[in-house]
Amino acid sequence: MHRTVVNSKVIRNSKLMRSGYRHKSSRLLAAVLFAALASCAQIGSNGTVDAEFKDNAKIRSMLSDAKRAEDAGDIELAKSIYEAMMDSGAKASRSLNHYAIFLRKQLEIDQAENVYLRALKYSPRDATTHYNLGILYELYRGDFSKAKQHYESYQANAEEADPAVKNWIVDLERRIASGESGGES
Amino acid sequence: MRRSRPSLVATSRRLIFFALPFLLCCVSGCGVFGDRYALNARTSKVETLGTKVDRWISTRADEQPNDSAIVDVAAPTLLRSEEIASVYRDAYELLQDPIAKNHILQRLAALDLKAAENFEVSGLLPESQEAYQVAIDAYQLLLASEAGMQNRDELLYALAKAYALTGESEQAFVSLTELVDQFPESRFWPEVQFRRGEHLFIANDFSGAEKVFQAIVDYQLEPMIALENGQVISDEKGMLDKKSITENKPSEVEHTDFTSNARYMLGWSQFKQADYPAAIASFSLLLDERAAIEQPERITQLAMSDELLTRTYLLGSPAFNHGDKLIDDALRAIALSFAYTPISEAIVKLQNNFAEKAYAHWVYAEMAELYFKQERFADAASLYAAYEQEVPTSEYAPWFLKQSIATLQHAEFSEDAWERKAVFADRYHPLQAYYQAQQSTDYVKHYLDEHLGIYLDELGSFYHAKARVLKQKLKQKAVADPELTSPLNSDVATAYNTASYWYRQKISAYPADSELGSTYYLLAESLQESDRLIEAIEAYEVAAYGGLGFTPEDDQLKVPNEAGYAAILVYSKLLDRLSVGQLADSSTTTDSEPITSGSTHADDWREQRIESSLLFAEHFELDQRRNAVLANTITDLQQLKDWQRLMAVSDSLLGIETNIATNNDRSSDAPANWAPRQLDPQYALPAWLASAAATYQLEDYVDAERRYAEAINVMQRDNYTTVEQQRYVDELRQKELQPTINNYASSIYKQAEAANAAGDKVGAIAQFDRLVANAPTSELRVSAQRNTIVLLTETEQWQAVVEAVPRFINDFPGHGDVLDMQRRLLNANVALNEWRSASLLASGLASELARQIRRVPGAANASGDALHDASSDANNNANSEADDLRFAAADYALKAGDKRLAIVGYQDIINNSRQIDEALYESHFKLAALYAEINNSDAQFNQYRRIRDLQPVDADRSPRAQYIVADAESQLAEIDFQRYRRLKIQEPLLESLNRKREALEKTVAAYDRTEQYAVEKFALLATERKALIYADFAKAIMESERPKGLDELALEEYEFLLEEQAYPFEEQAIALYEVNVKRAWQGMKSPAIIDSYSALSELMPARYNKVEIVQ
Repeated sequence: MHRTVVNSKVIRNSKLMRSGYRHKSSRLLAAVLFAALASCAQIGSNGTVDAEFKDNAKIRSMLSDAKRAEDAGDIELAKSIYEAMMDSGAKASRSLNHYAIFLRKQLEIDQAENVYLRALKYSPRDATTHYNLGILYELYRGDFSKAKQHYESYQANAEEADPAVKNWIVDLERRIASGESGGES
Repeated sequence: MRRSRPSLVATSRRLIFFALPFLLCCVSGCGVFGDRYALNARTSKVETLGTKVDRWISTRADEQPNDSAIVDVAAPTLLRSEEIASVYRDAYELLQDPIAKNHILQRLAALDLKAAENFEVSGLLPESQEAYQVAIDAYQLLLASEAGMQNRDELLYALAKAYALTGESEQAFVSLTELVDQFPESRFWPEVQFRRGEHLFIANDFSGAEKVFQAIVDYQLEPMIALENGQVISDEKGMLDKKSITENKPSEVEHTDFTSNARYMLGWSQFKQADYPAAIASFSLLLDERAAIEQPERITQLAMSDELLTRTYLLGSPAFNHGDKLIDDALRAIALSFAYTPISEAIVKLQNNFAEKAYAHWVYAEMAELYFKQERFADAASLYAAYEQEVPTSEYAPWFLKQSIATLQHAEFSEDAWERKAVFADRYHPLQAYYQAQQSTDYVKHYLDEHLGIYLDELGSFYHAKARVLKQKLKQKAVADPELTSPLNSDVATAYNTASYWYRQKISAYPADSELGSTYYLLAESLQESDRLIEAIEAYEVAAYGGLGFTPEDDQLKVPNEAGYAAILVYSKLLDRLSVGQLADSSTTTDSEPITSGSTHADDWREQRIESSLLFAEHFELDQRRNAVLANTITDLQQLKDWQRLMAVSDSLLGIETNIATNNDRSSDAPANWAPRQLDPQYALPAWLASAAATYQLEDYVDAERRYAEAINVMQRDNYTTVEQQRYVDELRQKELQPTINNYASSIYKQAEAANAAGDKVGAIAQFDRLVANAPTSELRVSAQRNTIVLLTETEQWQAVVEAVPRFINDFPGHGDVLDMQRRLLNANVALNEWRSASLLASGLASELARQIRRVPGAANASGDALHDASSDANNNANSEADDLRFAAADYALKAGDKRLAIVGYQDIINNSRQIDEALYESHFKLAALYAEINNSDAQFNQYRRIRDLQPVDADRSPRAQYIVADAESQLAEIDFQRYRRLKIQEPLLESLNRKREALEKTVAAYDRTEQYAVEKFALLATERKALIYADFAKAIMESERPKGLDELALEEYEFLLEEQAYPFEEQAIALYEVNVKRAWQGMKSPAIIDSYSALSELMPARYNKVEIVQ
């Protein structure tokens, strides 16, 4: 399991990518290119195999392009590619988590939540998604209960429970007990 | 001819003896009275008493078989009479019968008497006297004889005759007196009495004569011997029996003639005795008798001269020698009887005695004739008129009235004559009862027609001329005395009204008169002059165009067009009065339709004038006034707004074929067959102008443009053939040319509007351009140029706008739309991305608006609230626009990349700012940015300070102003922040610490102010900055230079102390970061929040350094 920041290649100068995702007419062509580059199977970072949903090559390619744009600091391009990816029917937790993290970085918390929830819809036992969603609820929403809930789901679905997460849960329980709260829905 | 009075005082008795019977016989128609009577008497005796003797004598006388032959030839020769006498003598010797012998003696005496007469006729006077004496002797012998007792009255009669013929009138009178005394029943009695009366009359014994003539008049028919076919009917005693009288009485005619003669002489006898009433009565009776006999022959031939007609009409009148001398003299005597009676009394007496007589006209005429001869003209005229008045239904009445008129005219009693003529014309008008009653009497009608027509003409002309004279005199008076304003007084009006009355009478009397048109014309003229305008119009129009049963073609009116034109003039006069509000009066009204003022009524009359004018134009195409009439009609139609008819009339006048002008050719060029007639400009110009106005009203602007162009051409010509034409055009040009050019331009303008309304903006622009080119002096030129620019703007022909607007401003520098045009020019430059030009234009516009605001009196100068409000609103709007333009100018400068121009622009905004508002904040904001771009940080931050200092922190601002001021505050805080960051805590510690601490407090205070503006972006930043400052301060404390010389424990203690000092700052930093975190939870977004998370991840890694898992 790697805890790292997305670090994609710089694709800022790619005119094709810029225009292709800014205009719907070009998205299809870009999707074809991405699909050719996508790998056939995804292995969960936490070691679980998401056998139920695997995005196709096209979506995987989109994800790759989006990450590269993001890494290059071209947030707009990255956003458009992620949106195209979603439009193309991305369901895989990997794709959706990347996109949700991207949104979180832009402080698009609500959108990020939705993407996470979408990922859980297709992969409800995906530990990574629960982990990330727990952080989102704790740090960016102040919804400690939900954060605790998802941390616990992570602990339950991960190959092995994370002691740090366990501490997080304890901290949350304490904060909940103290009445400290942020933006619980 | 009148014959002389009866020669009753003749010197010759012989002549008297023959003359009187002759005259009487002439009257009676019986031939020679004395001779005939005597011979008849003789012949009768021969046939009754001596038939056999006479027949015998006849056989002796070969060539004289009977007495009648002898009598008839009146024994023309002595030889024959002597031969007959010889035969009688022979017979006397042979016959034995005493009766027969006595008869022969009487025959012989008669033959002697006849022989004497023949000698006398032959001039053989001695022989004649001898023969008379023989006859006298013979008759005396017979009277003395026994046989003379028979036929004694005859013998006495014959003896008296013989005496008379020999001049022994006294002897004759004795014989006659013996006869009437002894034989009152004699058949000779009336004649003998008459001869006796004559004898007495001649002897001036008028009383005796009166008695004798009265006896004759009183004589009864019964004792009279009747004469029938020359037969004497009597008994053996020579006396007539009743039966024979009854069966053989003389004819009524003979008796009447004889009685009439006696009555005639009776009248004269009475007249001679100055017994005029008796004489008048006698003559009256005589006239009664004669009138019963006289039946004036009626000649009904119509085509007669006046004289012949008059003779025929009054046949029997002494004035015209009707042939009855007895009547003549009777009438003369009657007239003479009245000669010394005053006329009024005479008229009364005439009325009493004769008015009801069938021959009354004879008496009146004779008397009037007498008066006339005596030069008593007034009496004569009165008498003529008296008959007409007394016997108004008489068929002679018109003649008498006419005679009265003629007499008055002869005497030069003009006024009276005109009055009588008026009476004549009224009384004998064909529509009056008299004329109607005389229909069957053609000669009366003819007489009336001949004189009535003349009189009606004369009366009309007379009063017409009289009115003219009176009017002329009034005018002359008015010239002398200007205060006399009205040229029409009652006398003039009365005269004209009277004239018109007679013209109307003439028309009604002779509706088929050959000069009816002229009469109508004169009637109209008199009506016009008497201000009866409506009736005048009607009469003029009838004269010109017919109507009321009159057809102009049948009339001899030579100039009906004059009547038609006069009618139009009267219409104009009528309309003039209505236009000045002159109220109707009786002279200008008809019973049926009074004139009233008012536009509607005036329009009605105008409409009628139009109709009349069109009739004139139609009927009198060659009249020189036709064009003028049509031109005026066009003006009328224009006032009535009757555009369709106006077009028709105009085209007719201008010679344009119908519908050419309004065909489908919408081109402004003239149609191929557009060939107007060459007209005098005074007709052409009104026609062009009016028809152009009409087509304009009918929204046919193409045609209107053509017609206005024609009018302009007419006005611009300067080569007319006559001075008058040129002067007319020159004068009109001064007044009408420019308005016409304006209308011409308006026609084009309307075409442009139509094109625009149809969506053809390009076409509309072309029309406006044409207007500018063709009518550069038109007042619509400015609108055309303006609208062109508007349309160019709407069609986004920006380059054309850029070219057109400067031209407009150059042409109309002071025009109110200059600003609007400049705005459009600005828009065009914007559209063309000509930013620098746009900036300059916007700036210029703003300055111009500012100048205008300064020029317009401000609200303070307004006196009223409404004005105050309006002025204030206008100023506010202008200011607002000026502000916008200044902003635009600055923005366009920015777009042009001309930062300095932009700075000038924003400075201009700030300098012209009248209040602290968002624009002011924005300008400072933009200026700060521009200064930043040109790296003029001093100026940049100066702007921030100015922004900060504009208002107190808690002032009410717009969100944008609040943002700007927060930004400015943030920028200024950033300076403090950067200054704070540069400070290090170093030796000397306390001093440096205090400096940094002061810097911290100043910076925090600056960010606190920034936060107070509550602008999310800057509040988040301020919070993050403050947290950063605190964290930095804590870190600076921890990283501060350690005092030198501390041992390890002291150092540890020092660091512990440092931590204690730093910890509160760190805690404060964390708390501030978490403020931003919680803001994030509320959905706020900002780099400051991200930075806050980042800082917290370091300050509180256990809680915040949580990183998502990525695959």
